[in-house]
Amino acid sequence: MPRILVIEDDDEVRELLESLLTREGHVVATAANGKQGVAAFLAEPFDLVITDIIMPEKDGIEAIMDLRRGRPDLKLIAISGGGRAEPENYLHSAQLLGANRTLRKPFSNEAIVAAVRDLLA
Amino acid sequence: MPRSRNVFRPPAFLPALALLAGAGRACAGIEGPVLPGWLRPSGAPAWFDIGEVVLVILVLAAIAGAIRYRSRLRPLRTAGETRYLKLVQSAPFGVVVHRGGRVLFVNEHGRLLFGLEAGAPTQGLPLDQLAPSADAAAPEHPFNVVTTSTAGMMPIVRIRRADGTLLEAQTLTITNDFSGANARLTFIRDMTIELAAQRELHENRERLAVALDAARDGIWDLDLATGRVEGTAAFGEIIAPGAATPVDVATWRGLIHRADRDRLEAAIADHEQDLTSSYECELRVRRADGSSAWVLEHGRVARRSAGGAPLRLVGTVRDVTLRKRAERRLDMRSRLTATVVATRDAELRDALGSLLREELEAPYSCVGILDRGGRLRLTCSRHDVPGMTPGHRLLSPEAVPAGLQRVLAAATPLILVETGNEPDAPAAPLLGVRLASDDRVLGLVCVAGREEGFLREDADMLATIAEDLAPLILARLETEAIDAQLAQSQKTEALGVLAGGIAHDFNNILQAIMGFSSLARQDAADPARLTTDLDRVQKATVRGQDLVQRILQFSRSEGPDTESLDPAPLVQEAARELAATVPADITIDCRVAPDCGRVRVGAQPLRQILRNLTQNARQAMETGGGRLTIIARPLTVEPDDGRFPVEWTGRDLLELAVADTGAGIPEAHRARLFDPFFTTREVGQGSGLGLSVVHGLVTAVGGRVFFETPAAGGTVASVFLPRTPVIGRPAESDSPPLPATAGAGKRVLFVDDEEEIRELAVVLLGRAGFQVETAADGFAAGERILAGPGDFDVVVTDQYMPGLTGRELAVRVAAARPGLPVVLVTGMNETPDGQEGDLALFREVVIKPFSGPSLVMAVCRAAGVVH
Repeated sequence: MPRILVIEDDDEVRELLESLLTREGHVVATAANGKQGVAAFLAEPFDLVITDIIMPEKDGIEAIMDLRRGRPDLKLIAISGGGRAEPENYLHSAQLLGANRTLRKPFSNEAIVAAVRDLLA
Repeated sequence: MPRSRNVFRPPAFLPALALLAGAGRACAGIEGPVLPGWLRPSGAPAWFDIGEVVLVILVLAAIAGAIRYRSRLRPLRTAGETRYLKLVQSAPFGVVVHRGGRVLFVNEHGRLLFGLEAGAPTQGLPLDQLAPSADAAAPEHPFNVVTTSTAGMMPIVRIRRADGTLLEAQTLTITNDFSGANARLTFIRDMTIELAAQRELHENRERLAVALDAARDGIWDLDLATGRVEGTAAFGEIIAPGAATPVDVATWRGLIHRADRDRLEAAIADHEQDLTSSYECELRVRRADGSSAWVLEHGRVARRSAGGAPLRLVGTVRDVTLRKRAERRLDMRSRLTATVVATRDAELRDALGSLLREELEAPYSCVGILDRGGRLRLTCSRHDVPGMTPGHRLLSPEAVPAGLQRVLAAATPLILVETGNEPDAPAAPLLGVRLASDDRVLGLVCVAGREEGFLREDADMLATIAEDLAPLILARLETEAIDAQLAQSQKTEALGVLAGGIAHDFNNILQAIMGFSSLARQDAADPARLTTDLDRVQKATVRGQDLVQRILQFSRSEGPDTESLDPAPLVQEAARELAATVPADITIDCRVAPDCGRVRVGAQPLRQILRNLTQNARQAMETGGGRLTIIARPLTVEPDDGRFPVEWTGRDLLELAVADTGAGIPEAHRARLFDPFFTTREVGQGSGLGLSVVHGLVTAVGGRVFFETPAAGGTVASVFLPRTPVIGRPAESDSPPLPATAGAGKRVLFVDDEEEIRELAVVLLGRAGFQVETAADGFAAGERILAGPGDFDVVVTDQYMPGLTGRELAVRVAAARPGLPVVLVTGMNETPDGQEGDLALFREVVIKPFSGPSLVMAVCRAAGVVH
C-alpha cells in the first residue's frame, strides 16, 4: 500500500488532505513544517510527498531539495496558495527543483486525488 | 660789465641827427640827399638853399641839445649811476628799460629769462622782438602797459621765447626817469615753475574732488574749541539729506543712533589719546524723513595744541547703507537657512519669530505657514499682537484673523495700525508680509508692537526677508510632501506584504472550505461525517472573518470596534498573566497611575497590544533575564512635544510603556519594525503580524507608537492612546440559548440593500418565531411603515444603503410612529452619520459581520421579548 507524507502548516488543509487521501486508501502521515517533514521522511520511507511551499522553520523549496537529494525516484507534489508572490512563482521553482506535479490552492479534491493516482500508477 | 659803460654812447645822436635832417628837408620840400649835398665841393650854388640853412640850424640845435643832454646825464653817471645800474643788473628779477616800444636796457636776469645769447645786442630792439607776447590777441605789448595799481594780483604775462618755450611772468611796469629822460621800466618775475606747481596743485585738488565725489564721500572739518563743523555738500547730503547741513557738532551727533553714538565717542577718545592713527566707525544715522542710513565716519586729529590737546578734527563720511543692507541680507539669509534646516514645525516658527523680532527690533512676532489643506499653522510670540493669541495654533482659512488675511492676500508688505478683533488688544502696529513662491502663498511673517511704528524701510527689510525665506520654506514643504509620499509608499509596500500574507491565508481557508464542502456532499448519507465536514467548513469561515478583522486593524481608515474602557484592570491583568509565565530571572514591574481615565479602544485590541509588546520585551530578555516594566499613565500633550503633530497640543492621551532591559533593537531592524510578516517564516502561525498589528491597532484609534533604545540599554515601547471618552455601545455577551418561539407574534421589518443578507435575516429571525417582512432600501421601508404604522413591532435597518441611510430612516420612523424600536446594523467603525445623541434613535446596534444569535438577541431585546 503506497505511503504518502503530507507536509503542510495549515491545520485545516493538512486535515483535509489526510482525510481525503485516507479515504482513497492511502497510508498518510503528516508534518506541520519542512523541518518535521524531512525528519519524518528520513525516519521511514514514503512513496509520495505532498508539500506546501511557504511554511515556518523550513519551507517547501528547501524540503524538496533535501528530499530529492536522497531519493531521485521520489514522487513529489507541490501545493501553494502564494504569499508575497503569486503561487505560480513558488510552484515554478518547486517544479524546477523536481516536483512532479504542482497544484495551486484552492484546488479541488478530484485534482489532488487524480494527481496522486497518476504518480503512483 | 664793460658793456654797461657803452650803453649811452653817441650813436644815439646820429640817427637823431639824420632824423632831424630828414625832417628839415621834408619841411623845406627839398629833394635829394641832404648830407651829400652838404658835403658837396665848395662853390656849388645849392649850398645856400633855404632848406639846407634850416637843416643846418636844426642840426646845430640838435647838437646843442645833445650836448646839454649829455651834460645832464653826466652827474648821474658819476654820482650813483654806476651803483644803481649794478643793482639793476644784478637784481634777482628781470628788468627791461624801454622807451617807445624799443629796448633801452635789459639786465642780466632778463637776458636769461628771454633766452638771449651772451653778448647779443639788445639796445634798440623792439619789445615784440625781445619778448614776443604769446597772447597774440593783446593790442599792445604788455611791457608797455603801465601798472596802475599794485594792490591786486600783478598780471601774468606769457612770452614765447625764441626756442619756442613759454615764459610766464609777473610784470610790473612803471614810468621813470632814465638817464635824464622818461622811460618805462618793466620788472619781470619768472612765475613759470610756480604757476605750473599751482596748476598741478589745482588739478590735484580737482582730481581729489572728482574722486571724492565719485566715492560719494563727504569731507568735514571740526573745530573742537567752538564745536563748529564745516562740511562739503556731500557731507550734508550724507548725514542730513533733505535737511539743513548741521553746522555744529551737537546737532550732527544728535542725528546718530544712541547706541552708535557711545561707540563713536569711545573710538574718538581712543584716537585723541593717540592710541590709534585715525578712527573709523559705522553709524546709524536717523534722517529727517525718519528713515535711517548707515554712515561710515573716518577722522583724525588735524591739529593739536602745544600741550597735545586736539584742536581740530577732519575726516570723511560715506553712505554705506547699501553695503550694510547687503551684508545684513547675506547674514540674515544664512541665519534663515540654518534655521529652516535645523528646526521644523512649531520650533521653526518660533525660531523665525525670534529672528524677526531681533532684526526688526520689534517686541512681538507671528509666523504662519499654510499646510496642504489651506490651514494656517500660526505661532505668535505674545498675546498683545492684535487679534492673536499666543502660542501655536492651527487655523482654518476662515478662522485666520482679518489682519492676517489681508497680509496673506497682499503681494507687498502691509503696515496695519488698527487693533485686532480682541477688544482688549492694544493698538499695536503690525507689519506683515506673505511668504510666496511664484504664485503659491506659503504663509506669512509679521512683527508687531513697536512703539514708534514701522517705516517703509522696515517693510523693505521684511520683504527682503520674506523673499529669502520663501524658497527655503517651499523646499521644506516639498521635502515634507516627499516624506509623506515616501511614508505612503512604505505603507503601500507594507500593505503589499500584508496582501501576500492574506492571499496565503485566504487560499488555505478557501482550500478547507472547498475540500470539506466537497467531502460533505459525498458524506450526505452519513450524518456523523457530514457534521465533521461542515464543522471544518464553519471553522474555515471563522478564520476568514478573523483575517478580515486583521486586515482592518492594519489599515488606518478602518479601525477596530471603538468603545471606551478603563485601561487599568486590563494592564494589571496583562502584568499578572505575564508574571505567571515568565522565567524566574525576569521581574515584572507594573505601575498604573490612578487617574488613567478611559481610552477609546476595545478590550480585545488593548489586550492584543499589551500582549504583543510584552511578548517582545520578554523575548528581548530571553537570555540573561532582566526587568520588564509596564507603565500606564495619563499625559497631556505639551506644545513643544516633538513626538506629536502640533495640533495635538493639549490633547489627553494615555501612555502605555513597556520597557525591558534586553539587548535593544538593532538599527537595521528599526525601519521594518511594523512590517507585517517581517519574519515570513511565521506566516500562518497567527502571530506573524506582530508589531504591525500593534501599529495598526494604535493608529486605527488615532494613537501613536514609538520605540526607543535608551543609552542605558534595553528598549522602551510607548503607545499613546487618545483618552477622549466616546459613547459606549452595549457589549455583546455570549449568546445564551434562545427559545425557538421567542419572537412569536412579533412582526419585523428588515431593511438591507443586499439580497443575501435579507434572505439570511428572514431565515434567522423566522426560526426565532418572528414574522419578517423585508425592504431593499430606506425609501421603500419608509413608505411601508407609513402605509401601516401599526404593522411592525421592530424595524431592523442597515446603515449604509443607496438612498436613505439607516439613520435617516430611523428619523422617518420616529416621525411616522413614535416609539417603534429601530435596530441598526452597521459595519465595524462605521458610526451613525450624526452626533452621539443620534444613538438614541436606535434601540439596539448590531455590528457586522454579525452572528445569527447576536442579531436575534438584539431584535428580541428591541421587541421586548427578552431583557
